[in-house]
Amino acid sequence: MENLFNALNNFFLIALPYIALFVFVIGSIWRYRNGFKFSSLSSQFLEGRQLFWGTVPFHIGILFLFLGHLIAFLIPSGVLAWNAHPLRLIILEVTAFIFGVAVLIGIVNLLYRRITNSRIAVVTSKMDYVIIGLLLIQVFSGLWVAYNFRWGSSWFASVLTPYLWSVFALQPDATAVAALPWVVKFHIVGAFLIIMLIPFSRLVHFLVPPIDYLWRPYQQVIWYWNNREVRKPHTPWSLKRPKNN
Amino acid sequence: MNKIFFLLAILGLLIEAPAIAQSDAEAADLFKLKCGICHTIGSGRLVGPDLANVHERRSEEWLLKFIHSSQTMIKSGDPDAMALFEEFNQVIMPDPMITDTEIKSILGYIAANSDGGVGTAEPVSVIEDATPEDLENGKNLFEGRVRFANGGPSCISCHNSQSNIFLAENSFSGKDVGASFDNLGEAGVKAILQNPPFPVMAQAFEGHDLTEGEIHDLLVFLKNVKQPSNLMASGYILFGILGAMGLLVLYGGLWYSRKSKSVNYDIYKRQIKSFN
Amino acid sequence: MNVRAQISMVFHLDKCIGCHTCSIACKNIWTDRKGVEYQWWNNVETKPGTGYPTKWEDQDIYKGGWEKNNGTINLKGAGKKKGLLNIFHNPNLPVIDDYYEPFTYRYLDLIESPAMKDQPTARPVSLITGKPIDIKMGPNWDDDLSGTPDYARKDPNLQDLSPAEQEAMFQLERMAFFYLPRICNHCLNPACVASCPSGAIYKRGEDGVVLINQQVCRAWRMCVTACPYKKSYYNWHTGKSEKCILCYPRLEAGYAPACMHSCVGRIRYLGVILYDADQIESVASDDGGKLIDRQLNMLLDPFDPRVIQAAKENGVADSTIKAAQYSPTYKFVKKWGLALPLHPEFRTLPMLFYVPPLLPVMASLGEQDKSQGEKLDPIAKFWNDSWLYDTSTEDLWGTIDQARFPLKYIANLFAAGDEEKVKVVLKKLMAVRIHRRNVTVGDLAEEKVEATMRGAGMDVETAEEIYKLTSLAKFDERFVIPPAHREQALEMLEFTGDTKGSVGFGFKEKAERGL
Repeated sequence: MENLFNALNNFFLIALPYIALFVFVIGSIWRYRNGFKFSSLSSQFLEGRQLFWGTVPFHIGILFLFLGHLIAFLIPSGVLAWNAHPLRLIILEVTAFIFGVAVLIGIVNLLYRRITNSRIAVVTSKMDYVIIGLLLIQVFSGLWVAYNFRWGSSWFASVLTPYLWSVFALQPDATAVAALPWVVKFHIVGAFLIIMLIPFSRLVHFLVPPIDYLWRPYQQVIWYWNNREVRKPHTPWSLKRPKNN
Repeated sequence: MNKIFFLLAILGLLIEAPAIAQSDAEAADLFKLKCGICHTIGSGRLVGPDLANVHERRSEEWLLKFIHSSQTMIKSGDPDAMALFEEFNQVIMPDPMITDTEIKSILGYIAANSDGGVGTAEPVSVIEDATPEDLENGKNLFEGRVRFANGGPSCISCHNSQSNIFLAENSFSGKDVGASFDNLGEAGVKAILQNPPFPVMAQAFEGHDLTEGEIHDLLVFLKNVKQPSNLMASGYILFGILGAMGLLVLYGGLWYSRKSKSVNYDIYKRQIKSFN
Repeated sequence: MNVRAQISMVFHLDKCIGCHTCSIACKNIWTDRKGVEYQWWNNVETKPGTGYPTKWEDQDIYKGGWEKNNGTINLKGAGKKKGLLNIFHNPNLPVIDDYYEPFTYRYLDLIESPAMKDQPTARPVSLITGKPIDIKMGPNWDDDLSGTPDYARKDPNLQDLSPAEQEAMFQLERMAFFYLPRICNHCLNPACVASCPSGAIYKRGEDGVVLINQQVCRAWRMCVTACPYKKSYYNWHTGKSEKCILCYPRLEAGYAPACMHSCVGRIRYLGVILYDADQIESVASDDGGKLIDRQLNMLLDPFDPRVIQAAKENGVADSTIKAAQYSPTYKFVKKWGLALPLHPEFRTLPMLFYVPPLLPVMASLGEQDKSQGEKLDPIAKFWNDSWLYDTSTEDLWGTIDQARFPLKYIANLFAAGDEEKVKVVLKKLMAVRIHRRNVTVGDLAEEKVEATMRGAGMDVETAEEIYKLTSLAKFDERFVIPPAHREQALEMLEFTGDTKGSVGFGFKEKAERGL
């Protein structure tokens, strides 16, 4: 029994993360290379009214929550310092919980729209259903953990951050995480499953956030060839390939 | 072809990881980490019994099973196991998560160090000199208002009245703050604070040990305070739902002027439908 | 001077018969796939009318184009701040119901229907869901002024016309309409290029064609909002945006774009215009009244030696400069001043120019109040309809000033509301007509004709040239397409220098030694 427990823990907390990360990196590079299948597949054109109440709370909430998890991963001592005062701890936790509930509402709205609106059902693939189901379960389990195992922000920073770092440092140590309640492990496994499925779904769209739009000049003129260089008479045999200017 | 087989054979040997017996130093570390919190060898009862010469009192087979998972043994009805459980205040011995080989090496270590036999010493209390400031400081440390010097998380991160974070029943969750002292005794709690045996707690304080003074004040607090801490005991979900509704109202307001209907909406609506 | 070449277009609206052959040509080549069946990269609208998508010209609804704020211009509904903040949900996005839900009919039901009491019918089904629908809208639902109370009356260009002027447009027996065929204008300051957060849309330097890179597009769908002419469309099936490509594969091979080639009325002209790219920003951000003049000033004379010199320095090929010298669009737009851009107030500097229609404007001064019955000549029994297109009245310009079609309406379309500019163009067009009537019919007084021509700034040679290019132009005179110099473009992709002595280009896999 214990061996099975060990084996399952080893698989889900050590093997699966590595498989997921590997598939994610290789898969995303492979898919990005062609680019035609790299799209957010927006369906606002077909139905915009219901979408608003799904996509806006979902995206804003998930950005906030992702940022929170990321900060706890990168600066755990900062999180613990913030949580040092109980009032600040409550503010952080309740705010995150509020955003989490908003995300849940958003996903439920999106799922409802996908199922009931015939125009949207036509542009929904099986992978879309898988992803939205996974996200729903993931958010629900996250809220469960936040409510039942308080205070998540502190013990994430103390217990999960070292575990995650150990995975990235190729010296995985999952003993602490193995002792956590199964819902927490479920949430972790769900996260890695979603990471693994990113290159095979519409989730690729968040790998290319258009941040560079902020400093890109508005107008773009692209030339096939460098007119001034390509026909210069004194270089009849160009040794270098002409570069696009 | 032969070269390939030869290479494969060498690879096979390397991949097979035979169980190599732990060295003595490793066994000592293992004992300290896994057992020393609650058991002494020859220094008397701590949380659990003094383990000196335990290999003479119990068979190796029984010891292996019990140490592997005492709760399984107790639940399966083993009379010795159940008796022990009753004698030691029904404090659960956590499963140490180690292999049989490692258990055997620990038993060997115990046997090697059991010269003095079972001790009778009672643990010495370190908090006889407690002052009200110590109690206050201990409370602040517990609830996190004062951070631990070495950067560890505050106790309330996991030990609060709402948290069901622990696998084992009866483990200290903060619901009953005083239970820790009653169950484990001061020595037991002190040992846990110094060197947590529980994997989650050990990970949390790895590299962030508590100082002597902090342990002292925490012990004072844990001995004397009976109320669980009550951060946001009720209304959490309600707050969450109301807050989320508020967020939705905010989004609706921010994007109030969005184009939500098609331009021809009114024309479409008044057109006759031939079917529903 | 940063001289660039642009393939520009002129549509002569007097000649458009509204047959929609252009739309079908483009549809059959480019937009007959799933996801783009609702897209009409070329569409023909009836004016007055709301167009496609409905009321596209009303930027208070659609927030397209640029607007001026304190000396600089910003995108009205997109841009760096708005585009990124609204990236999860574009608050101004036109939805499919603004265009129409594409449909087809279940024709097979007619043949394979089982025996029934009633006749079989072919039900309309949606091309999106496949389910039966009620057809509520089409891409040209208000064609020829159908549904006027719902569509033509709500034309955004009527907004600043007085109620009397609006009524004048809608009186029975006096109503007029014309057709407005539209394609992407391949603007000099495209709002779609500026609005794309992933930078997928770009303008080609060699010929000015604006294209959407299908591999870079990430379906942020800001370009649909940003284009004030709504010529960037979202492909709901592939999740990419698409737009008119000016048939660039045909252009590169020396053929005219499909819509231009197939035009029955031969209204379309295509040619190269050289322009000064340095002035784009200052022209686009100038005051509203100056936009047209400054845009026309930016277009350069291809015969000017300084311009030719600057063009060669910029790498514009000699053959392109020659094409610019023969360009019919340069003649219409710059030399004769007969063509105007569509809605210049959107500040995108469109390079598709329209010759405003003269016909709805002309009317009689004397006979307009007589009822229809009186116009029937009792003896000869023919309709005396000469009052409709009378060019022999005393005051030849009166027909323009007292037009059947308010000049303000045409000015709203082509001159940002400036009636004088439209008047100048219409007078020139009228002068050409009068000259040709003089030549062909000869029933006008010579002095009157000369006075008319002087008043319009027209001389006989120019009038003849205009007449020839408008009415008698050959195919090669209407479409002057510069060679695309693909041999130079090829050198971008392949190193052509070393094919001698090698195995070949190797399209799928390089003809190289293995690892």
